[in-house]
Amino acid sequence: MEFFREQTNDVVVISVSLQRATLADAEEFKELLVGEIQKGIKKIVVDLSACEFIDSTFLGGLVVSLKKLTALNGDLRLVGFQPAVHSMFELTRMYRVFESFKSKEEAIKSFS
Amino acid sequence: MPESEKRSILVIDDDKIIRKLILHHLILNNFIPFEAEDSNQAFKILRNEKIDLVLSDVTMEGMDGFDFCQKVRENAKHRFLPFIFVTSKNTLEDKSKAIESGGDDIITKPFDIKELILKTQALIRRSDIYRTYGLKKSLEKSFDEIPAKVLFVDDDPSMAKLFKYNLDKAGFDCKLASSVDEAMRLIKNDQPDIIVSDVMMPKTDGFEFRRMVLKDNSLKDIPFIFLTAKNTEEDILEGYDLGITDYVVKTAGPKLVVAKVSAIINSLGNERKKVISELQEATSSLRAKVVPDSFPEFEGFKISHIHIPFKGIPGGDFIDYYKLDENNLAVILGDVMGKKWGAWYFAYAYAGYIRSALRSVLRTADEYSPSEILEQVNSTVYGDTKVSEVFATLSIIIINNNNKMVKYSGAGDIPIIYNPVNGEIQRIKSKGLLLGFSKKGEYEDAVIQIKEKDRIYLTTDGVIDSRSKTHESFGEDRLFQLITNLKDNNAPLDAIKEKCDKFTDSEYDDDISLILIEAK
Repeated sequence: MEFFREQTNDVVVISVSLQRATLADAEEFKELLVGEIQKGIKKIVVDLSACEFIDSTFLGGLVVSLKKLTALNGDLRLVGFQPAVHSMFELTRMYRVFESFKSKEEAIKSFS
Repeated sequence: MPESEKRSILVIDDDKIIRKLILHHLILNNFIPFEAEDSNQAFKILRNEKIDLVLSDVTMEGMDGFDFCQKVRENAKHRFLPFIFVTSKNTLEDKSKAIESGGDDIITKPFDIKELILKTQALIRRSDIYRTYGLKKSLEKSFDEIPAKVLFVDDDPSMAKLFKYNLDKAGFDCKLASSVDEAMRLIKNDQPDIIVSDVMMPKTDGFEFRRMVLKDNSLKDIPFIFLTAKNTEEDILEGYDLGITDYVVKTAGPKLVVAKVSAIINSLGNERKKVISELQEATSSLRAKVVPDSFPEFEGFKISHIHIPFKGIPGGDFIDYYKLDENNLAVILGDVMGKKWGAWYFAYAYAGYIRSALRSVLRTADEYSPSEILEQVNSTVYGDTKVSEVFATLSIIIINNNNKMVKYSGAGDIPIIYNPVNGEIQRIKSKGLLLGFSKKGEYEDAVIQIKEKDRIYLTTDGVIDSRSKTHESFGEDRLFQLITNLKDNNAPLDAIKEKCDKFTDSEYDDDISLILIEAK
């Protein structure tokens, strides 16, 4: 299982257990998130702490979902940036649109 | 532009002077025009010529333009033929009639000839994109309808017959070959979707057959199942070394083979692979060039690039050079995210959006500003539902060779690298967001006063994310360091490519693009 889902009240946390999150898994990931949104979930936390690297396609999946969620007054928040992932978000200026947190608990709490 | 790439436009108007005027400008803009004064002549031309777009008057002798358009649409071949009305009728009722009868656009007389040419070009480009997209849809559907082709290779005729009977019954189209020679002949003529082959055969055996298939680039991706009489471990291992998809022990019977064949055929990955290869052909035939073949000539500057597409699939990167006027050149580098979703062909659409934004900036602005172009492209992309899930990074540089000013603005792009002859090499970061993400991208211009022999580098994430065999990323710092060391090199792009090739062993995970701007 590359993606692990857990739910706390109305917040869904998806943990990505891939060392390299790339186009190989990007589509499945995107479909998973879009599926949650279609089910009516508006608060999503994605835990990237296992990822050493994410590529632009995978980031694209996060961006699509965030765009959908913001249109519904929801949000997608991130947890666990490793250095290379952090620099990827900085490089593409995406840290400005995603709120990120140090721990899952903090991210979940931020929604309430 | 070669004759074969020119598009044919049919112009219908009963006024000879208007016809000649439009024709003249179409020729100036590299179109091949055909003319008709009424619907009868027009129908004749549509029958005999391959027409790419129709410009039609409304009021004519005999059948009027609206009726004509409706009649044209009745022919399945012309259902999607781009059709523009050119008319002095401009009431709302006329406009709605134009759309109802099947027209794509309406231009009112007296018309601005530039507008007419622009609308013609835009509509042709749009229909190219729709054609590729439509093609993709129908290709996907066609997989459901055509039975998958199985090639069954076995020297034992009774065994072959038994398997063929079962495969045919399960809805496959099964062809038989009694030897590897015969199999290779059949494959060349008609590529199967899957190959099932015996191992032990006289003359050439199954393993050798597999090696032959693997050597051929067009065949190596076809799923391959070995049918073996022996199930000793060496046999099976040798099979897996050859990258086979599966193996079945003969004694397990035809049912198991049918099940395995079905499972493989149904696996989505395989279908997608085929769609991509078909699309590859479609784009090349559509001339969907997203990277120019040659470098632009621009007084006082030398501009060059390298571009390596990812495994031959047209990638998400695109490069464009656009001369705004004698003294201003726009240099554009973009990367459309999400190749995996077939989004690469949006690179073509994006290139189109940017071109039209450039044109409108050209018309309205006193001073060219890359951030203004980005703002325009962003708002178009943001509002377009077809590409609303596709995001792109973009760097735009406008060079003025008169005052040697370089203006730069970027959307989620990799910082450009400015390497002046005197002074310190530096990254220049833009602030803007990815295109298509939010309504306001907050783009800003950075201005560089460039001097002789100064260099500016633009790149996408392909170079930075490329990896060595030991999975180490090339990284932005390494690129920065490399460029710093190449200060006195006369061919820095070649040197960077060489370094990358060495680093990655020439195996890339993404498009590789680099542009170099050098002041002479």
